[in-house]
Amino acid sequence: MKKARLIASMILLVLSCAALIETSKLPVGNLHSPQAGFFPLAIGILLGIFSIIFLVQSMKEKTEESRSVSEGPKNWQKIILTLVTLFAIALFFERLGYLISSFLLIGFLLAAVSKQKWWTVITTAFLSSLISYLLFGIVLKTQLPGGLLSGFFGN
Amino acid sequence: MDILGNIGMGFSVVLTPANVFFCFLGALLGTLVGVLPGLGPAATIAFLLPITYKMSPVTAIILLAGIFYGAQYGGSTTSILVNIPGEATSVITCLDGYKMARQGRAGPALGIAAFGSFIAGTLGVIGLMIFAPLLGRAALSIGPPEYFAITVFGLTLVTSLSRGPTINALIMATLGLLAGCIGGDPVSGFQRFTYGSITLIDGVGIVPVAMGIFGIGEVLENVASALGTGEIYQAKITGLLPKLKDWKDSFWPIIRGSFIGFFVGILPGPSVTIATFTSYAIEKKVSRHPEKFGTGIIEGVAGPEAANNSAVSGTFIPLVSLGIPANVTMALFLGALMIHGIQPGPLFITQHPDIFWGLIISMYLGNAMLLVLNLPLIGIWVRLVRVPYGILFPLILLLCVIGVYTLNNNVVEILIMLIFGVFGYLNRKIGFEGAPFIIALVLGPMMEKCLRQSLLISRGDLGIFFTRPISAILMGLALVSIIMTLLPAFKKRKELIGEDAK
Repeated sequence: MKKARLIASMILLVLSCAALIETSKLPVGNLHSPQAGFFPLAIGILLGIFSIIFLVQSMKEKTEESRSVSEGPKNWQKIILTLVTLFAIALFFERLGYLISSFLLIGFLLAAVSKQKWWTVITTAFLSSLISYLLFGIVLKTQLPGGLLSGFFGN
Repeated sequence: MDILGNIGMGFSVVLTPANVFFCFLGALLGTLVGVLPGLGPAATIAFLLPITYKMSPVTAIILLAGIFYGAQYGGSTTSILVNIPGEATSVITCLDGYKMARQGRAGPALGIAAFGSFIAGTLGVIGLMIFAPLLGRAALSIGPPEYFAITVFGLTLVTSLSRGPTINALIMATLGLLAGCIGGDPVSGFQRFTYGSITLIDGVGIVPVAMGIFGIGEVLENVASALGTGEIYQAKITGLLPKLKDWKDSFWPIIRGSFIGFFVGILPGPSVTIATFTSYAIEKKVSRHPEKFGTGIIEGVAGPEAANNSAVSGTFIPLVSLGIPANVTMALFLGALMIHGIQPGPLFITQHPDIFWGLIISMYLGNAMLLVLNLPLIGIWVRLVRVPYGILFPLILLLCVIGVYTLNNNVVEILIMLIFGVFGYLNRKIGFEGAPFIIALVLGPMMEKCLRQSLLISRGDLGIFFTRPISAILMGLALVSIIMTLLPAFKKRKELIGEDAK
């Protein structure tokens, strides 16, 4: 916990410095006539102050009192697999189209993360992809990408 | 127009087939997400926002409001039967509700939760009907310095009431304000921190952020902790209609809970959850047998369940009368109204009486529907909780992807949602709450605009915030709320609430 909080406070300090550097590129103005950079500058300074307080508090924190927040390696694997799947689907969402993307998303998560039996994977992925397409794409008429199957569905 | 005329108009707005249907759908969906842990009303409302584009504004608000108050009903069912609170607002119900179920009194517990919610929901709506127009009229006479003070007070209260150390909440609020600076400057339109991205020109959208932090972040946490389903109450549930003794024991807790819920609900932050804890604490204090609380007594269910429902009405007040969202769900309501070109604020009730009174009447109707709907459907809700999380979470993730993509048909927003999902997950791990971030993100542009306008009016004199009576009082209250968090007694209480909520 202590280590995680120390890392977080470092990231926050870097972020507040970055915010201040970026704000310096904007017109700041003054109290009489505040410009676009005025508010972000004030917020950047505040963030810097809070980050320093947080860093000091984290350094003071006793290691033995802190509760562990680390996940087991298996759980990290699940989280990383879920995130990688989501990012991959986001990147190929429009190219693959809704039906294929949603089938792959559900199927992969059920197979790799939840470790379901193959028939549960195929049936759940197929049905949820089809039913959600019918509900959102057809009934509610929301625009979902056709992608590779656009020839079949006309969008 | 007199109040009866307004109520009549509300009925004429709501009693159309489409609005009655969406009121029912909202209440049903709300109960569903209330039952399911890991999918809250905020993420559901965020997900449904794009679908409400094509609806009339009043229909959209009726649907979304139904989800919010329906979730309060649903949350109690699983708290009582499974000891898993579907929502944070039902955590306290577990203490006595689940014990009652174990003693074979699940029926009266569920019954009083439903009836208590109905009574409190109705009383809360009456409160909303009375106080929102009053506050709206008063708000007409205030200017930028007062609005700036309101946003400062709102933010300090959100940070001081959130769980964990105050510095964590202050950091989250500051990060939210910084994220709120992305996009066009609210006064001159000057582009800031957009780095050529077209998606960021209008700023970071609240929907991808809310769905990321509350949808994706929550799923990642549950995936990691391999959510268990708990011990499910298996016996047949009978006697849903509470007996005379149950009514006698519950009457005053329900009335007190309704009032506590409504007035605590007006405050910014996690006020609905706080209302339930306050109601429980007060019931224990006024009870002739406080030692029995936690052993399965009906007062411990009736008070908090009434409080969470009337608090929902209370949270609408700052939004409809001042245009300021008190919590994440209200921030999404603000988004929903703005999608339709409607700006909530002091003029909202006079300019859009159909929406305000339609919302009020739909809440009456929705509460009645929930009462009828909830009791017979309890068996279905319990079966739903038994669906393994391993099957449920890919479906929740798919809904998040659809919800964010259909907002603007923009894949970049899915990526923004995922980035905020990781941000939300890591924050939970090190004890940072997402709510101050989102409230600050929404209030930031208004805060900046009012600050700059005030400084222009006063020619750079910061004293403007301390010499005008309303802003001076609010700034004073903001200061008090921060100082309070430094007091040891308050710190201890916050830690206790944090532990209970976990």
